[in-house]
Amino acid sequence: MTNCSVDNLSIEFATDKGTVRAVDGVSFEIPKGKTVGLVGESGCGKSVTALSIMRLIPTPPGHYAGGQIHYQGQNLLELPEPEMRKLRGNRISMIFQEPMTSLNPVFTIGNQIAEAICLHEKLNYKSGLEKAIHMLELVGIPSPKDRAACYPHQLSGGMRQRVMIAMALACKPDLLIADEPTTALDVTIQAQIMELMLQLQQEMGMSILLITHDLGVVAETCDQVVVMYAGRVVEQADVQTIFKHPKHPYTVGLLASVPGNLDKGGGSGGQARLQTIPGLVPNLLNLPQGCRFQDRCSRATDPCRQIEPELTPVGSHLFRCYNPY
Amino acid sequence: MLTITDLKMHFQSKAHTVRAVDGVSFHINAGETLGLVGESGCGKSTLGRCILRLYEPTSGKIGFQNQDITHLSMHAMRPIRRHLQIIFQDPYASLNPRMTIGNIIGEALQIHNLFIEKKTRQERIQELISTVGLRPESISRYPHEFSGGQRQRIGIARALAVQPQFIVCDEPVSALDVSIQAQIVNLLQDLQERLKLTYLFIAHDLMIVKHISTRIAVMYLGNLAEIGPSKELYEDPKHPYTKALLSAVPIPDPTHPRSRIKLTGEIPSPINPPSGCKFHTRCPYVMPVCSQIEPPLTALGKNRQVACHLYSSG
Repeated sequence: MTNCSVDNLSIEFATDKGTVRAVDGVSFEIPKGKTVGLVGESGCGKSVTALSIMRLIPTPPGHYAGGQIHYQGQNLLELPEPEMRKLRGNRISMIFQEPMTSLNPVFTIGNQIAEAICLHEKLNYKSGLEKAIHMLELVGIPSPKDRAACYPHQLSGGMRQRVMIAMALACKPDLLIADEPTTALDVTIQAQIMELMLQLQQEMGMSILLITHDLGVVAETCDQVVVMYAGRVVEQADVQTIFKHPKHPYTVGLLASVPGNLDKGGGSGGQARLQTIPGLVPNLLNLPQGCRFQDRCSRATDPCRQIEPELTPVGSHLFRCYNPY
Repeated sequence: MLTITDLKMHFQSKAHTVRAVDGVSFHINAGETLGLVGESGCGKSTLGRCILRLYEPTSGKIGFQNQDITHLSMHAMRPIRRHLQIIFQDPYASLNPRMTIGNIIGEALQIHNLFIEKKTRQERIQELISTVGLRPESISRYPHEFSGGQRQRIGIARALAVQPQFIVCDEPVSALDVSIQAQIVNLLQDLQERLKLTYLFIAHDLMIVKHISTRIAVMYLGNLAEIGPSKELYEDPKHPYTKALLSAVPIPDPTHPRSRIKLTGEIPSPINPPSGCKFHTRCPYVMPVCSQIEPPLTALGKNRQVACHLYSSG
């Protein structure tokens, strides 16, 4: 069952140098109770896609240039703002990357979590705060009652990220958008946070859209993977297929540039070299004709330089390439 | 090449003493890469900066090429600084936005009075720019015109300008995208081979550290937990902290079986570290002795050392 589907979404931004199409015809579905990973390098449009589901793209300079986002039968892009506000932070919520900048430094964390609860559940402040303390307990913060009276600067990075999760989950959303939730954290804390998110997913049955560039995290947590490059979806499949039988040269390159499995290889003291994807991501203001990956691709042929390949399905596996692996 | 002995770096504020580095000893051989890993706040960057004397260590000794450089004056230190360089983590904050790339690299040459003649200096700058794989016209551009990966290349060119022998790489790739990370790591390896460089590679990404390092040192709260050849350390970690750290690394293979050692809680504060073994508050194998006596770093086999009571009795 589909919880949310993004259908042919395009988002443009007006800049001094012209209009940039940051997201270009992106479609994918987030099934109920599943985790979808959105993968790609900086500037590929993954965060913009996520923000647009929350309708948090500032317009202007942003502009929804086309497409629809369906959530439980309604198109979020056509929803009036007051209706959207009822969903945001309630049915659909988001965890941001930077726990320091996305918490308000002048309010206690208990107050900040209670705010969302009081707003959406029409509770008074006292019971909102009680629920906030319960949420802090749920995300594994020791002595939650004392912590609720703390200000963000009094907490460590891992604790702050837990607070963000507590806030996002306070109203038991059924769609959680997590934008690089563990990127700023240490591996041991990352493992704790990811485990917590998956455990809460099972308890609450929510869907997660996980945006990340860490392929290790994707392999461990996602059911479906969507790979984006320069505003386009270039490959989409279930997690096993993406890691075992990647088709698009970009996906292959991305997987190969991660230093190998911990169990084997490496540790040679600098003899072996990593595989790289040469060159840089193209400028969205000046995209090449044809495939957007052609300049960095070892398999590019003449057709690649003329017409951009379509996203073609082979079973449930979609990829955008003339010369797939 | 470099030896540090019982190095301590305590930061004093009015009310507290932060024991950022609390008695670390190791050596780095010429031509090798020593990886230094640990969670944020464990003191790994502070240690890197102490070695370069960017911080004045509280106590301990730093020896570089059989010379004690711990207490050299700024003046005496300068010719040695030529051989000790650093590449910083943040390629956005570490380049002066108002200087051209040519000036940024040239400044290092100017300070050390190298390639004094204008023409040869320009040639040297051009040579460095092409060494790190940037286009020749980059010389007259400003940092904001470059991407993160390119900026990191500029940082590398600046460090290489004075022909150093030893470079501290302080999280050089953690701010970069995966595909760019691989480009920079390969560049660092190529340069090491060509210029016979020695690296201290500080990072929290254990996969990259394993890839590039000859030996690895694991730090926890200002102390070394374990040190050894990277392959052995990854295949058979001894210290419970190393085990937990390695098991927390997500593996990019969905079919890989997971056996995670869960560490509860967070790294304690270096203002008031736990007594005895600093890891005992999170250690799954904690014994009564651990909270009382700090385990010394003891040899285990030929070239490994570990600081843990599990191994000190036998």
